Amino acid sequence: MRRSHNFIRRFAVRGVFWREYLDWAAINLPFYFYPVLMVFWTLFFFFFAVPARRAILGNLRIVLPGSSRAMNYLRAFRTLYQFAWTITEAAIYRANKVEFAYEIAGEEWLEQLASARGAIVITAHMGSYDLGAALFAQKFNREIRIVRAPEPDKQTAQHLAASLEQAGHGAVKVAYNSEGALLSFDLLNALRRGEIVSIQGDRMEGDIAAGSGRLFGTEVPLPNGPFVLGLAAHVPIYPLFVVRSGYRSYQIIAHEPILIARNDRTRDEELARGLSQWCTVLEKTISEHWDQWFAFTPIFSSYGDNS
Amino acid sequence: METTRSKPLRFYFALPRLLAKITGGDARRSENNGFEAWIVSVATYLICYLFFATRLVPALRPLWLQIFVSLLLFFAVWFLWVFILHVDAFLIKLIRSSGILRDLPIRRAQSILIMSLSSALAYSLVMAGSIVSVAALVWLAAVVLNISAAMVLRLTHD
Repeated sequence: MRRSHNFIRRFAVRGVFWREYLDWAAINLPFYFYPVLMVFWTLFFFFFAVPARRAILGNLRIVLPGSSRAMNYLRAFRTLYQFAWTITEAAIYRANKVEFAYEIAGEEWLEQLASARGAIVITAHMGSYDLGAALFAQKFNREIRIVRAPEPDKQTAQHLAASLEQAGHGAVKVAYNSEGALLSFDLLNALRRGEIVSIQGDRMEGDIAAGSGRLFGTEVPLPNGPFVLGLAAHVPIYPLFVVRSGYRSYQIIAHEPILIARNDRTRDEELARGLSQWCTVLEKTISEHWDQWFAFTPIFSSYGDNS
Repeated sequence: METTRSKPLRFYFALPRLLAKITGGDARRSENNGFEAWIVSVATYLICYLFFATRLVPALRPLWLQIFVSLLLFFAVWFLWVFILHVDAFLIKLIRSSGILRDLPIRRAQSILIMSLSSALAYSLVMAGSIVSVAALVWLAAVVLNISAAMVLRLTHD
C-alpha cells in the first residue's frame, strides 16, 4: 500500500518524476526541440499546478495593482513559462556542459563579494538561483553554501540537492533551513571561517524566524535569519539575483551590500533596518522581473492585505 | 562548460553556418541561437501537424467537428512527439549497444531521426498534392540546402 502511494507521489506536480524527465530531455533532445515542447508543458502545468497558479495570481494582484484578472492569468502563464525555461536550461547546463552567456550588473559588488572573507548572499526565488550559484563558484573559484527551504517531496529534495552539487562541481553545498538551531551554528562557523552562505530571503517556509517587512505597500513576514547571522558574524549581506535575459542568456544583478553592525541602535532596530533595505532592493527587482519571481506560495496573504 | 560575457552570433545548422562563413562571420557550431531554435521547432511541429490535419480533418462533417479535431490535433501531435522521442531514444540505445554511433551525443543522433521523420512526412505531403504542400516543399528545400552546406563545410574543414 505504502509502496503504491510512494509510486503515485512521484507523479505529483512537485514529484521527482518531472525532474527526472527533465534530466532525460536534457540528454536526449536536440536544442531546437524545446521551444514548442515548452509551450505545451507550460500549458499542462498551468492547468494542473493549481496551488502554484493561484499563488502567482495572488502575488501579481499586489505587485501589479490595477491589472485585470484576465491579464494576470496571462502573466501567470508567462511566469510558469519562464520557470519551465529556467529549470530546463539549468538541467541542460548540468547534463551537457554547454555554453551559456551572461552579463553582470553591479560588477564591483560581485568582485567585492568574491574576495570577501565571509559574506552572506541574500537572494530570492527568482530566475535561476541554482545556475547562478554554480556560475559564481566556477567564475570565482569559491565554495558557496546554499540554504534553501526543503521540498515537500523527499525524493525531489534529494534530486535537487544532488543536481545543485553536481552543477557546482562540488563547490556548491546545500543545507536546509528545517535543521533549526544546529544549522544556525553551522552557518555562523562557516561565515567565521570566511565562507560564503547564500540564503533565500523572500519567502517564509517552515518554522523559521521572521521579521516584518514592507513590500509593495503591504506588510509581509520575511526571514530575518540572514540579518541575525550578519550581525553575529560581522559580515556584509549582498543582495544578488540571477535572471534569465533570453535564450540561454542570464543577467547577474549584484547590489550594494547591506551592513549590519552594533552601534547606537538596538539589535531589533538594526535588524529592522537591514530588513527594510532588503525589502527596497527586493521590491525593485520584483517590479522589473515579476515574470521570474518563482515564489509559488501566497506571499502577501500571511498578514492580510493592509496596504 | 564555458560561460561567455557577450554572445557572438553563431548557428547550429550548416546552411546559416556556411552563410556566416561567406560573410566573414563565425562558422563554428553552436546551440545558443534562440531564433534558429524557434524556427526549426515550429517548422518540425507544423509539418507533423499538417500531415495529420490534411488526412483527418477534410473528411469530417460538420464544421464544428473539423474545428474541434483541428484543435485536438495540436495536443495529439505533442503527445505523439513525446512518444516518438522515447522510441527514438530506445532505438539509439540499441544502436549504441552494438558499438555504432558511440561518439555521437544522443541528442545529435536524435536530431538525425527527427529530421528524417519530418522530411518523410513533408515528402508525403508534397506527394499528396494538398494545399499545404508549399510548406512541405520549403522544408524539403531547406533540408537539401542544409545537407549541401554541410558537405561544403566538411570539404572546407569547418
